[in-house]
Amino acid sequence: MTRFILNRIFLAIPTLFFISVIVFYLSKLVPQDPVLSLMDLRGVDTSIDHDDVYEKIYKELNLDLPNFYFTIQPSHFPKTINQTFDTNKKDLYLKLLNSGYSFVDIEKAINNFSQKLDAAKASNNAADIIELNKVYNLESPEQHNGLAHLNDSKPKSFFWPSFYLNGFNNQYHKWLQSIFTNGFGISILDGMTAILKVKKALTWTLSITLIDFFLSLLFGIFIGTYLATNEKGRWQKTFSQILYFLYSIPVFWFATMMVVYFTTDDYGWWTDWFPSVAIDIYPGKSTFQQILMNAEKFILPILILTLHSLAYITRLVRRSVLDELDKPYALLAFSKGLDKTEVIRKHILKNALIPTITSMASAFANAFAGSLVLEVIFNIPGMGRLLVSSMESADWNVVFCITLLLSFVTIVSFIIADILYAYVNPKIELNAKT
Amino acid sequence: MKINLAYKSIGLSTKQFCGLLVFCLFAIAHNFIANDKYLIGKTQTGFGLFVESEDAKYGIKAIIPYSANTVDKYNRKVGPFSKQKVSSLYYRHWLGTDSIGRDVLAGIINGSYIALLVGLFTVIISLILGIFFGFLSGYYGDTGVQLRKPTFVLWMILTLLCWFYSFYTFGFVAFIFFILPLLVLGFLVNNVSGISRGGFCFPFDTIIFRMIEIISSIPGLFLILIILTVLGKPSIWNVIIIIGLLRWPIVARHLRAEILKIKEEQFIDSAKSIGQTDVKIFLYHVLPMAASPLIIISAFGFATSILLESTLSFLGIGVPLGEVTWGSLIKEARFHFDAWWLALFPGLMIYGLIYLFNSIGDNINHKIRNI
Amino acid sequence: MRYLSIVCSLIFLLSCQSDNSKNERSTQLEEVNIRIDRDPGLINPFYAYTSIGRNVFPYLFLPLADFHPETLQISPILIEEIPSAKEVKVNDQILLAYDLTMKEDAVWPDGKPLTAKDYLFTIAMIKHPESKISAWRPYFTAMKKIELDKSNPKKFRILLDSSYMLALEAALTCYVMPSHKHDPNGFLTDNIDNIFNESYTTNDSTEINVVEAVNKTMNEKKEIFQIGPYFISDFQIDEYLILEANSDYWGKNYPDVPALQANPKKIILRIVPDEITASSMIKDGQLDFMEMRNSNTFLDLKNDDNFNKVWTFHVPQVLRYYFLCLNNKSPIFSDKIVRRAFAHLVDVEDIMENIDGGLGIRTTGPFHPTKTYYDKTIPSTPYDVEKAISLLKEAGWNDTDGDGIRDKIINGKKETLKVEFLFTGSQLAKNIGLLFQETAKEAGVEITLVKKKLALMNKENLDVFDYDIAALAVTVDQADDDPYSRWHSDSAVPGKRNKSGFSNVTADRLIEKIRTTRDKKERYQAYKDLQTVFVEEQPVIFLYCPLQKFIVNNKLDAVTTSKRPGYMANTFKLVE
Repeated sequence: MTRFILNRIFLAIPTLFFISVIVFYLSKLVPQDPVLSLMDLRGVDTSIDHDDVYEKIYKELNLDLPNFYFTIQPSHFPKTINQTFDTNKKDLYLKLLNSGYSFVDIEKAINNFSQKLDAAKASNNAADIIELNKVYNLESPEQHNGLAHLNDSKPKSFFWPSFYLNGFNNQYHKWLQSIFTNGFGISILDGMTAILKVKKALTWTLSITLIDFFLSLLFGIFIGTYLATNEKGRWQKTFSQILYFLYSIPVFWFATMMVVYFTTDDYGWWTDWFPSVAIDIYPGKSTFQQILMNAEKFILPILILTLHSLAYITRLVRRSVLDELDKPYALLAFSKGLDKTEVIRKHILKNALIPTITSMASAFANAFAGSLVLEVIFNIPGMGRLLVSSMESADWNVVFCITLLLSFVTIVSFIIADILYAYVNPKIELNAKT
Repeated sequence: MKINLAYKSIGLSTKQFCGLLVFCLFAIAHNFIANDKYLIGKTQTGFGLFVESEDAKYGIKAIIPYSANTVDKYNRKVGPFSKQKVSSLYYRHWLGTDSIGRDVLAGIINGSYIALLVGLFTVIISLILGIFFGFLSGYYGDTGVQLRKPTFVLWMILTLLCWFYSFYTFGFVAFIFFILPLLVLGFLVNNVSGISRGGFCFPFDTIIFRMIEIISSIPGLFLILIILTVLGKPSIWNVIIIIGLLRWPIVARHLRAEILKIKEEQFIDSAKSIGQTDVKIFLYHVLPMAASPLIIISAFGFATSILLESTLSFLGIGVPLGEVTWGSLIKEARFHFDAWWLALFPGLMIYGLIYLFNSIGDNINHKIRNI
Repeated sequence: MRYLSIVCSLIFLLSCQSDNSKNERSTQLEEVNIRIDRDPGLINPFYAYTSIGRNVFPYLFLPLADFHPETLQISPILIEEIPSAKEVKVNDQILLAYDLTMKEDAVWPDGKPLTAKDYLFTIAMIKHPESKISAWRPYFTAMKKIELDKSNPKKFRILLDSSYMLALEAALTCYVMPSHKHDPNGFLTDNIDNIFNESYTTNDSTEINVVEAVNKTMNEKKEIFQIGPYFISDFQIDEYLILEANSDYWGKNYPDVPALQANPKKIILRIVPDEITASSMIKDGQLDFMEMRNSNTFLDLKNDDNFNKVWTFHVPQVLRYYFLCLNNKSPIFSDKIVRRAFAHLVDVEDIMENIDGGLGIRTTGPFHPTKTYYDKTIPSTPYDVEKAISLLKEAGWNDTDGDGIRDKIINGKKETLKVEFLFTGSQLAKNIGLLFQETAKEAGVEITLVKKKLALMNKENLDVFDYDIAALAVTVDQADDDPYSRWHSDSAVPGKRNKSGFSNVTADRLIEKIRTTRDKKERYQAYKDLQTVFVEEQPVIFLYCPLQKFIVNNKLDAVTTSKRPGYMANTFKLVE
């Protein structure tokens, strides 16, 4: 068993590595300039040119280093392209390099060009500045050549790859290090460490998802077994219908309808079923205490979430119990005249839950996604709301912190599911590969 | 009668089939059902399609005389039962209007078009990728593809080069470069497979399973939100492609399991022994047998994609703003508690469609189990 | 089915009983709960602060003088009275001298008196090259010297030149830093004459250490040591921020100065991003005061009979105007006829009356209608599609290829009237865009809506004049407008604040006249002339000035004003 667990954890490491690489490159794709955001945070007036400050922060954020442990790029690309800190210039370099001009030619042409731009700026000639800026953005192919004055130098039409090793002195490595030492960097909104913000939000989300998860599991197994074993029972049809209804209903719509109609008495005296949706923050209390004090406010969101995942789990359990009931051992047990509930409880349920367990992990991950929408609607300061608000304000450190953390939680829940699976079904351990 | 048989044979009930038909009809003909222009109008130059009302002398109007974006400024936020300032019953807003006076019914019709677009294309993308990878991992497994070591080294070099160039070229050429190594591998395998001992086994199963694990480890909705925000420009096609890319692992996993079952059968070996190629065996023998589970997954996938899209529109991310979708209508309802029709009708549509596709999936499932 | 639903509803009813015991009345106002829609983030007015930060720092930081929330005249806070100018000759230059005295009993929280040295230190920090308060520097270029009074530590004199019409306002509305805390040895204050020199640089490590130490405090919320009536006792990001009144505050000797009041013992600012949630919180009695953005929700609540018994609705003016910024440098909008045609395509009355619930005042220019120099006789541009079409035809835009969209050959290139409408994502701006889209379609113009964050929009579009139309709002000050930065052609270069790129010789001349004329009557005439130019040229489409929307609990005696943020929570009292 220990070997299996170790093996499973060992296998998760490459997964985590790849996810971190994906997240890292996503963070590089973000349209926001991290240096400018930090300058804003530090109160540097970004409307004025601050090349020196910009460069300082650029280096501070390690943006001048190569991206990864190794670099593969066309041979005429310079090794130190990241050291150009002026983003416009860098884009220009890349565009021209991509069309095959050699670095030396480009540098010459750009120096030429920036002198012109400086002259235009000095004389405050607006029309010229705009025209030159357009060239800088390379809006049309003619400008391409026009700018570059590269008419006398020929672009390469074919290039070979070259390969460099960068060692540990690269952005990805430093980024990974900063996660452990620095907690994902700081939020550009308030200068607080991203991980601290996320931690607090996670407490809220986890408490909701865990309660939801256990409640739906408890009722799901019970109802699912009931439905499967009483195919012609009295409640069978009603329950199935309700469950089908709950299974198909979109969470966000359900929640919106409940909030709109059943938290106020606007539509009649009898519609005020639930307390209003606003979480009451009691200042000075810990997050956990806050959750306890707001217990009644959680009834509606947890109810909605639970009903939704209940439908999912019940269907799973019902399906696998039905499958087990068809198996010879069950038929034998019944034909021997054993007590029905006893057989179901002792034999069938145990076997039926095995396939259910693997689905639990994804059900848990689903619960997170479901809570995202609910947090937005119910104003719960959890991960979902934090994610949406951070994305709106381009607070990317927090966003990527949430993504990595959630992936981690998902992977861990997958591992736990696998281990549980192996525990209840030792056969798996022997031929387990994935 | 024939069509009757066709849908019955895969397990659809008449009700479901009609529902599907009506939905597709609404979606495809959305421009003809709800439009503020003349569908066919007589202008000075002759007859034309979609003629502006001012230019036309006469013509045929649509059943609903409003497009999804038409603003009726005399009827803002009116309910279906409240008094409306309209000239005749024909111009009545049967399901009310939103806060700036757009017809909800026309919006719902437009929303059904978006829903079909999203559902259909995400399913197609996920099927193409899922079948491809599912085939590789299920059919070949970890030991099915053997290469001579030198061939493998050459192939690796080719792959790296191709991917390198696909990174520095754009558009269709990049795609060709990306896919080329796999095609070449197909040729190499057919020549080499099973001949050499001690060659290099290409571990498709392990690699693809790792890929699937990585993709399913990142919470889908979160990832979609982030990618869409990073991409910046809202477009329905971005939404479709990303949902499609995130959903193929499910298809691949089920297909793999199915193939593992089918591979045990005798006829695969006999087909191999008469010299059928792997691709032919897969297309003519394996895929038809695995079709039913794939249809089920597609039906559920359709429902999930629609749900995801409407959730995204509800959060206001990814879908262009001028576009009226079911999710965007419900979003509007959150700002107007008293306008119950804004939340109710589009929500019922989403619910109805998801219910339809889920029950279709279930019915087919049921049918297969009972054969 | 029926049984089940009854059982379910019974369970629900039993389990959820709303708790309304909150609205207990007491005689002393213990706390007020105020909703803000985002975390204030940075709140130090010296450094960067967010627009939400404005809801926080007025209770912590105090300026020498500020605009009075009711009279809107500049009135003293930390100083005894607003000084009058004396002309003084220094080094052959005529300067305006103002004598100021700090209030006698004004003390810092540690009991040390507020002195002229504190102000001197603040100015030194603003002017110091190593300091990060760079945003403030341009407003203080007109300040040439500060002289301390040797006999009275509270008395000092500032000397300004006349290069900037708002120099005195800037000098007086400046907040003060405690010099005894940051610079007890006087490294900076003793060196003040050098620091006033524009080209001053230093390598003196003791001096730089002082400046750096102050720079480091800028993001610290709990460390704020200031002279205001409140201090931050607790905060949780994205949840709340609690301000607690200083015990035995010196400001209670001045009941007529609103900024010095500390009536509620606690001000709790609650961060509730979602307006719907906020409105249900207010129904629950968890909030005492809130600002709303969405007029519809506001009016719905106002018309709710149960609700308006407990709550009052305030709609004070705010010095803000909405406009659709047109890119005057693009080939389409460089033609003023096209700009005028587009102005005819926006049904401003309809938007204001029906979409924004009638909570606004129509404006024809960038000056707020409540300002004395606003010319009410100028008629606003009416909504008239026919007129717009004829104007577009006049400008040479015709639909030559029959696709329903007008086109024109400009500089040998065929341009079509397809324009992008940028907005920041507010519900109102979206609705304006959707309506504009529809009316524009009739005139043969295609508009696509693009949502973009303001910071990104600024960087990618507005700053480089790469856009067509952008829906923007501008908030202005109580002081007389200085149109230079937004409408002068000097500012119409990339990176400066004239985002529309408007440049007009007559307008430039008038703006320069406004900036340098000291005679009020003459200056106001220039303002009026400038408005005529704006109507004629239509540099942007001016929409209207919105009203602020506040909901106040009836138990509170709250005064709302047009001074940002529209209320002063420290003056709230219980209704007797």
